[in-house]
Amino acid sequence: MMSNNTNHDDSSDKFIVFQMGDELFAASLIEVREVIEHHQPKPIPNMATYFKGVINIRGEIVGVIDLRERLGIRNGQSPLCQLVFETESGPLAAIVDRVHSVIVSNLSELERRPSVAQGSDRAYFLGVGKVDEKIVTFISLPKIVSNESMAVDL
Amino acid sequence: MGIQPIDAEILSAFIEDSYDVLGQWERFCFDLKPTATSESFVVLMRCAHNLKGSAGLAGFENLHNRMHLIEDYLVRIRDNFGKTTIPFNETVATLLEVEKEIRRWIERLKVDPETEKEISSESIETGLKVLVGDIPSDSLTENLSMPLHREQWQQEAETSQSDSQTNPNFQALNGPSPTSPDLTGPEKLNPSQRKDPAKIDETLRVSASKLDRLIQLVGEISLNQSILARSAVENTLDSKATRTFIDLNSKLVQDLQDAALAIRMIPVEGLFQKIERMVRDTAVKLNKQVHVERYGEDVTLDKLIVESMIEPLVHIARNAIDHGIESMDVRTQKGKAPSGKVKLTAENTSTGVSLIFEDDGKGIDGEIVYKKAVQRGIIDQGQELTPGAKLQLIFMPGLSTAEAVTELSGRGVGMDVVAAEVQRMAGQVEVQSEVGKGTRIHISLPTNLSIVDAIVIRSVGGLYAIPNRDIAEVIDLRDFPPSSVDGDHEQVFDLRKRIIPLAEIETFLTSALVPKSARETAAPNSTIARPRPTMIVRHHEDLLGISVEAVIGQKQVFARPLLGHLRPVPYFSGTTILSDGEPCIILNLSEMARRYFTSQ
Repeated sequence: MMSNNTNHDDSSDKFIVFQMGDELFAASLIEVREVIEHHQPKPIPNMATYFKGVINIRGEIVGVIDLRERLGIRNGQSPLCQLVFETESGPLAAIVDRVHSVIVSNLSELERRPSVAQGSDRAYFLGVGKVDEKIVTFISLPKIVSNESMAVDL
Repeated sequence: MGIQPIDAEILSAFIEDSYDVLGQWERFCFDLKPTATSESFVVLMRCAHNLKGSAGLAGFENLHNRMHLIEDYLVRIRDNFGKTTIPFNETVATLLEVEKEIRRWIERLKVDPETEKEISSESIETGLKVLVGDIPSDSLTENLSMPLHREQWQQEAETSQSDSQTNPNFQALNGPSPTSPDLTGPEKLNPSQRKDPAKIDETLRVSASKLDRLIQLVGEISLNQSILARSAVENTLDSKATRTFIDLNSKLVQDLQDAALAIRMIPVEGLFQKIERMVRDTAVKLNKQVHVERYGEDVTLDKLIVESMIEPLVHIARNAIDHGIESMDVRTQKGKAPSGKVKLTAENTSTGVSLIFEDDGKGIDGEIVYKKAVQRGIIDQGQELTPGAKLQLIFMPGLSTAEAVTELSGRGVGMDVVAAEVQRMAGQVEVQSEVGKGTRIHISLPTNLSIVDAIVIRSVGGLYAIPNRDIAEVIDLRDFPPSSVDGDHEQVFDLRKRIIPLAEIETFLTSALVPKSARETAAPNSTIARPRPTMIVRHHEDLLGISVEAVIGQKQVFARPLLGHLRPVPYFSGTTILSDGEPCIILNLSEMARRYFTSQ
């Protein structure tokens, strides 16, 4: 459905496109370790509300965040999958509505590239591009949670 | 001189090797007797030679040259030992000083290999020169002015670590001539990899017999497995013979588990040696005499735990010598032996290992500690504490100020850090002291952090594991009916004539994920109506009852390190996976009790 270009072999330019609410997002394919079916996580107390708990992926314990809640997307649908990615503090799975496709894109062609003035709290925002006439927001998954404690202060 | 790209593996092997050798060096100094013959110096000579060899092998040319120089000095010291007027103690002190300086070089190298080029041995040479008289300088410079060649290094290295020859990374050293300062090559180690010592993968020396045991068990298990597989095909699984094999396999798996864990276990000897060193050094600096006794050095602990105890024990040791042990004059006046005594003990206990640090210094006055704590608002004026509990206040954060130093004989400083580190390793620390007689600090630790005997409980959020070591006992509140005190604010119960406060585990595990209705049923006043199983948790001399919704059962769980994102929560100590595949948090009830008693 999108401009798939599988001949391109530099995967740093490949992005996984996924949907949250009415919006489309894209994250670098290199960042995404795997895409798994949505599992109900085991809830963990004393954590931020968007931290939904932990799951067991082949014997590895992985934290689960609701990416829609973290980014303030309200009309999320019942989720179909989770994107697993690595952070400095260990692996996380991000709940999204659904995954659309993998596209090839060039970050330097994006519009509204972030400027320094936008501050570090939006460091995950890479820019906006158009894929098949649809607006896609390019984000960096690890940067969304870097330098942020998800634990509730006790 | 240039260093060819240093493989991270070679670097970490070199560092590991150096620490090992320096440990032997230190040991040699401690054991050296004034009557020693030059033959007993063979250990020291081998240490210096090995260091030189492995430095050359790793491509550290400057360090190699420094070691060469030091080796020359050592030869002379050996030959002249006992024949000069130099006091024996000075020889030992200088040799230890040299060891310390080399250790400093290695530490810096570990952080940034580039610092190797800046290494200078000038400071220790002065001391060495005193020991040997003077070595004619040309005999040394002659050696140094000759450029060293790889072949020579290899030769030296071969004599000291023949196994390194088989290392494929060795190829990396056979690059361009050692004189080309080529550090900009593309193969240069990633700077972040170089600068951050934590990124260098931890290595461990394991005795071959432990590995053999492991391999033997794996062999037996796979043999059994094939017998079982055949039984499955032949449909004889219910036969008595097959049952025997299944039993045997469970035992083998258990043995395998033990053997695998044993690999990480190391004796506390090295730790104690470091502490003895610390004690000696501090004593010399402060002009005090201290005698160190070490017991139970062969007691083993997980490597991680041993390493984490270095800082706390160094801290305790430094404080003990600095503020605990009196000067020789004062000791004589008080009728004590002029030389102070420090006793390091490791003991196996039913729950793990105890490390005990004792000194015969002036001790700590619990009353003064208590007064300070009240003054600082750490505890309330009216709060009654037993003399023992007053002493434990030294582990509280607020007492670590300079002012407290003099009055608390210095032990207030940073003792909270000691307590925090011990708790991080799931251990407990306790202090006993008698004014004028001495102090005893008792650290109890688990032997390893991996396999934990635990009770699985249910709370509103789901299942949790609680290590048995955290629990003094589990009681049924129906046998010990709780009563409210202070309106409905607090509940206590009478456990065999001891009044113990009661807390709900849910007060520590708050979460927006827990439905509100569930939380309401867990409100404090519901306890009387619905008695719950209660864990008795000890915090020093205080006991706290923590009630849970239900006890599910007793299990051996394999504790994994906590996911980084969960680490900020103080009540979590690890995670595990239950037999149904569900992830499960391992709770730290000791920390709950600590917070309960210290926040009041």
